[in-house]
Amino acid sequence: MVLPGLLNAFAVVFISIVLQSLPFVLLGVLASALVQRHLSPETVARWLPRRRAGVVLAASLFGLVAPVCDCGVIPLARRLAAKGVPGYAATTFLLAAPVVNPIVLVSTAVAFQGRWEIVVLRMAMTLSVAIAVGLLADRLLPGADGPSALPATIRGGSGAAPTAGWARAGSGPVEVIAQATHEFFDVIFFIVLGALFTAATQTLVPRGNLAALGRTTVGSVAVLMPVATLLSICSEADAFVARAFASTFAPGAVLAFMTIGQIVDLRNGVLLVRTVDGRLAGLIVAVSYGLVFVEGVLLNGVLR
Amino acid sequence: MRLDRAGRGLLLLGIALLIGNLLATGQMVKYMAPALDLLSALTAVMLTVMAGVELWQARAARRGQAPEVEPAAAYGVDEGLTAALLLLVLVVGFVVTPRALGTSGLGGERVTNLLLAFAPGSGAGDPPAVPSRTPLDGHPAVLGQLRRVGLAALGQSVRLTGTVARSDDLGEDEAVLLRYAIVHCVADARPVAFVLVAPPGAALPADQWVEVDGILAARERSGVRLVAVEARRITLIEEPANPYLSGYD
Repeated sequence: MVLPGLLNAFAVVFISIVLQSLPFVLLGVLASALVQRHLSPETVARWLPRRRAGVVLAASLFGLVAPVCDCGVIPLARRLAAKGVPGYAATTFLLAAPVVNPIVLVSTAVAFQGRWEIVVLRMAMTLSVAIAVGLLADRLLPGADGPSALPATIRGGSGAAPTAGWARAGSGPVEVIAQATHEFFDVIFFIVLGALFTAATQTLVPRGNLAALGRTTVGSVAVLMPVATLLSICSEADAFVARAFASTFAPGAVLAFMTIGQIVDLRNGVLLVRTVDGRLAGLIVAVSYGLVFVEGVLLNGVLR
Repeated sequence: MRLDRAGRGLLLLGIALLIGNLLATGQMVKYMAPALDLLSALTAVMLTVMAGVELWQARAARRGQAPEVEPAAAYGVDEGLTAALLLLVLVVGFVVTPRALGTSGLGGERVTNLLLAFAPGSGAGDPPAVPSRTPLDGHPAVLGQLRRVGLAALGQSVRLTGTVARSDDLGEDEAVLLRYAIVHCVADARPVAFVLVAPPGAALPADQWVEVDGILAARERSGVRLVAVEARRITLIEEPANPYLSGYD
């Protein structure tokens, strides 16, 4: 069937985003399944430093060895907290790991054609938010529950049930693939939804309007951050969507899009609110939105 | 609505088949840069393996040798919506014959705002290039020459392929020769647009693919020197097998 011009453009952009995201989503869910099946939280807890600042720093970088995307991080953070990792450190891990992990950093580098400054800045912005929230949570909300407060009946985006993971028997290839498939089906809904939204934006919204917004130092950041929250795109694939915005929006706005989208998004936001103390959820939203906005605007000034 | 293992397996298999079909029929280039074909093929293989595991476990579950999809409370409404969205991908992917982006891919932007222009002072200090009698064939060669010598490329014979875009902002004998460059997929497509100066009486319907033989020229508009191609011959052609310029930055 041959579609008329505008519909054809919509369909082609929609399918192309889905096809391009799939390899990275698969990589993410497989890595996450391997971690869930093979890395025990007791071991992780033993590795943690004793000092609070050290714990927060270690938790912020733990994604480098436990590469889970934002879709799989909540159950893992909850399990870490349940095994003795302090709530503020588990929260830091929750915020940092979806971006500060090798798979996402490589997919960002691929999407931006090896522009490593984008990769480094993305990681730095995410770390700044995760560390700030972790330290503030420890100082301002010492009694607040971290991810360990996740009700036992709620499953995270990874599809890992409370009974699943290390407690379950079986960690062979079949079980890992089955686990990855569970995660895939939780993630893919939001990938396809994001592709639909992006395709509609690209084909229906005049680029002249977007470009006019995208060229402003403050407006471009203010526009793209809520878009990232609405899109809720998995961290393994969001760089490719962000890349599509890069020709229209200023670099600081694109970086803010990739940072805030993994911290405050519609899908994980629902889970987050049900997972952590309400005050902690409020702190996460306020600090991350404020800090990312300021950083995005500053970067727009520097990188122009 | 819940999705059982068999349903999941079939959906995964469907996506793998869609990727395989697009690669086998040469339609993948309408969505993605050819450099990513291997990655797409590996994705299809992995999806097939995942589908195989799901279908095998569904069969085992029917025989009572394995549990059905683990905890039922794990998924809610999302399972039905997920299935619906994946079916949408499969239907669009299998049923729609993809065509390259044309003027509709501009998202309402005026094509005249996208025209290539010579940089101020371009080629001013360079010795004039001697136009080759052999035409520069294709966008990479022409864009490379423009980048190297700028205005000194004027008069050079060229052969370019693209779609025709019309605009009220252009003269009667003018149109735009439009082609898109992609890095990875159509979502990152960027237009490459030349002023096309057509021979008298040439019929150039919008979005028609054409092959243009002509020479590089400049057209002055609002103080900007636009890159133009003065056509000696315009041939109407079918959409090329790979309609996008790949990797051009």
